Amino acid sequence: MVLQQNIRSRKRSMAKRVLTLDVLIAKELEYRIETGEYQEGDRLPAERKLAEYFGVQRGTVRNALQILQDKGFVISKDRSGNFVAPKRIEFNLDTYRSGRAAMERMGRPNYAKLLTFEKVYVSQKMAEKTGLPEDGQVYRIMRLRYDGSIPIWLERTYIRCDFVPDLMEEDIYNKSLYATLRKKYQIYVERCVGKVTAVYINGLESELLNLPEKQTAMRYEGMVYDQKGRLVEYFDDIMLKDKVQFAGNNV
Amino acid sequence: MPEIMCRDEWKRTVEEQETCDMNKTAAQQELSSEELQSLIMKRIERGELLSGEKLYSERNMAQLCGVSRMTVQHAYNALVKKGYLYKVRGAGTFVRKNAIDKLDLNYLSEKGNAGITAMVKQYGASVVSKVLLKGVITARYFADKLNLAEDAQIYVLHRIRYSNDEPIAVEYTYVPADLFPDIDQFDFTRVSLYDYMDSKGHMPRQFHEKMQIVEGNERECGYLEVEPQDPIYYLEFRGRDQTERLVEYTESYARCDRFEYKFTTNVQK
Repeated sequence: MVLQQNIRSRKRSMAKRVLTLDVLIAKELEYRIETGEYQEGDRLPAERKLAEYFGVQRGTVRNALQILQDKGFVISKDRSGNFVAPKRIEFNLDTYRSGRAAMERMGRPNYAKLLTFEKVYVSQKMAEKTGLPEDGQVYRIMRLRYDGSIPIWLERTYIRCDFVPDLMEEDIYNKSLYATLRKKYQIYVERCVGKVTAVYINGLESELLNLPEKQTAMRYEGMVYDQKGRLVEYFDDIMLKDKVQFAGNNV
Repeated sequence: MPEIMCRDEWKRTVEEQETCDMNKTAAQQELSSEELQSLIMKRIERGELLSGEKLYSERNMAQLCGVSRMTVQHAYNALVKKGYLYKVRGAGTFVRKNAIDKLDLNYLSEKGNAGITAMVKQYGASVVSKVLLKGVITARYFADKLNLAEDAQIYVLHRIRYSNDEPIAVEYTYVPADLFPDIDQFDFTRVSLYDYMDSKGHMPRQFHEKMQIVEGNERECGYLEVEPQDPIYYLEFRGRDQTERLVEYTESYARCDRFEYKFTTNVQK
């Protein structure tokens, strides 16, 4: 095996050290995870076994595993070892999809709990961000999205009231919001201008997402335009950062 | 602006913050250091505090907001780290220039200028790199990313990128060694890697990228001069040249306080 030879020959010569052994071993394990040799939920071989296999100290293997834990590839469980973490939910940078569609595409059992459905006035901050009139009204829809049984995503969606008169809770309860927009209002979402940043989460968010306060999370904001180029939706979501990623061909 | 107005202005923002914060219980009436931070950041973002403007001394600010001096000190220091403020010994704390002009962390700009150097140049700053390590390796993980044979030689270039003397990103780049036989003779402290790749006819033009937000480990946080566990952008991208050959694989860690990740996506029809 190439890595093994590589490591052994370098150990012999100790000539030029380009990448350290822990990094090389982490990359080899990452390769095995990506190519499916180790599957989601699999337990990795014990530290001792890996150390033997690569012909290195246990400390080196431990460092390699730490690198993988930091990157979220591996979850360490006390006493029972290291396991391959579930894959992150992927948002496609080329094609815009609703949260629900993104999760379904991953083949993940998921559901969203509706937290609030109300009419509110556009706040000053939102007006500055979106250019919506400050005295205008929006529907504020808050949903908590679960991956299996774990809450991973707090969706906060704002829809212009004047575009969707008489939007009802039933229209969105357990339903796709975009499907409702299409069917009831002939609004076809077309484009999303998104921004992803890191935030420190506060009281309510931390409670809902079951994460200690002052931890960091991913904030995904987006302005969604319809077929007429009108801004119909603004969303400001908070997600567990180790559960999601964005990917695409940025040509 | 007369100072008295500034004071009122501050108090108003403080009150606004308190009434806005619905999650706050009666027991925690006092403004926390984090809240004071976000308050100052808000004022900078709204343009109420201008770059170069001096902030109140820690003592005055503490009095004004009804918090302890420690709280103010903590908030100021955190904002210095985040790049919003800077301190001058004996003179005070000031708002940094371009505190809110974050760079757009999108690899290929509309003009086709790729890479951090081009991105930063658009903002009129220059980029200097520190080469952490370079050399040839073989490892199938990287070979696979570049679509090469398992034992192919891969040239490694790890760099810290600085803008205005501040580290903004760490980039671990891997390129096929056979395409760039003389790469080791170049000093990528100042030479742009993409300029070099372009000169060899293998400028990356199309990218596949992956973005996450991670908690930096000691190594990357150290390079980026942020606290361990601070969030950082993690980008992985593969670049193809005009013949669609994979010519670059890079893992990049970028500071969340200096970049912003933006994109436009369309619904598939």
